[in-house]
Amino acid sequence: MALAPRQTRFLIVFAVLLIAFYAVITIDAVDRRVVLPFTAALARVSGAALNLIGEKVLVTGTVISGSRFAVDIRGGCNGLEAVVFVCAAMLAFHAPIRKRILGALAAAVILEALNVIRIDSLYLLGVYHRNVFDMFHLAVWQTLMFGAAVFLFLIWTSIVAPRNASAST
Amino acid sequence: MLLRALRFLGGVALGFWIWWAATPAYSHLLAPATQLLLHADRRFAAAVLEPQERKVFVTSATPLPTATMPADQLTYNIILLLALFASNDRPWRAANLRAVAIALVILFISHCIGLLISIESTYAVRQGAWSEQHYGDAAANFWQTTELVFRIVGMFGVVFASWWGLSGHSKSVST
Repeated sequence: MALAPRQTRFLIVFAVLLIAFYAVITIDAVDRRVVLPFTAALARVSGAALNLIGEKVLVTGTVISGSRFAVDIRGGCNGLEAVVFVCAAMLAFHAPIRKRILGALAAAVILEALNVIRIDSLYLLGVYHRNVFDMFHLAVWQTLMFGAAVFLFLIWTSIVAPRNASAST
Repeated sequence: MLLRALRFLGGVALGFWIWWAATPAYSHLLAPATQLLLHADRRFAAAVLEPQERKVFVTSATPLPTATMPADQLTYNIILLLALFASNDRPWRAANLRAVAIALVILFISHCIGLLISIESTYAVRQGAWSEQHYGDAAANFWQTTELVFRIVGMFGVVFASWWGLSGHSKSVST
């Protein structure tokens, strides 16, 4: 079970990047100028999708509200934690830098699309099955988001470093 | 990849059931182990961690304020751990099960550390005058930030690193 130096290096760089990226998005100025506007945009997209399926909701800032329920999208619920996670993993991986950046961008887009589904499903659970809202909010969707991040990483590694490729890939 | 995704979803279901059903019993394991770590901090030398269902209560015979820790919110990363190992090829083979066992030990240690961080953070910033008396600004910031990092990305980082390193997956691609 001993790790090769390359695997060890990957895990160390991954951990360092994960903490560094997360530290960046928690800086006040970044939060105010980037994260909050991004979260508000995410709320608008999620609200539009809910209106599209017949739920009459209003979006104010990061809050999506209907007549029976409202959700406030806060830090930790905007999908950025999973994006940071997959970016750290891809950027730590030994591959050409262009492929790493493209992979990270594609993964970020896919994860945020999945996050819109998460937000809308949580809103619908809040309206129609409020008793299971907390369970899905905390355990189920967090696991699925990070699971999706890991899967995107695996798909990407199978493209940039296939199993039969030489060790110098 | 589709089969792997299906096995992953099966693992999510199994992991969720285990997490939900086993948390009350697991709290009885987590609390005394974390209490040993907590006693290393003199401020908590007399603290007693009492498990109760999905929570752990911090009590003491001394003037230490009491607090309630939502232990289950620190342990649900076991769902992702079991789902990732379930997604491996032939998940019931001995090597995979051995890796799961080792990963569970790592996870348990990380849960103890996670609960310790949560307790320190709670007492550093959410106990009013007691917090101000016993923690400086830098220490309070440190524990609050550490708790945030652990709960938002750290607890999943530990799971990913354990799975990646132990499942043999890391050897199948060039890192």
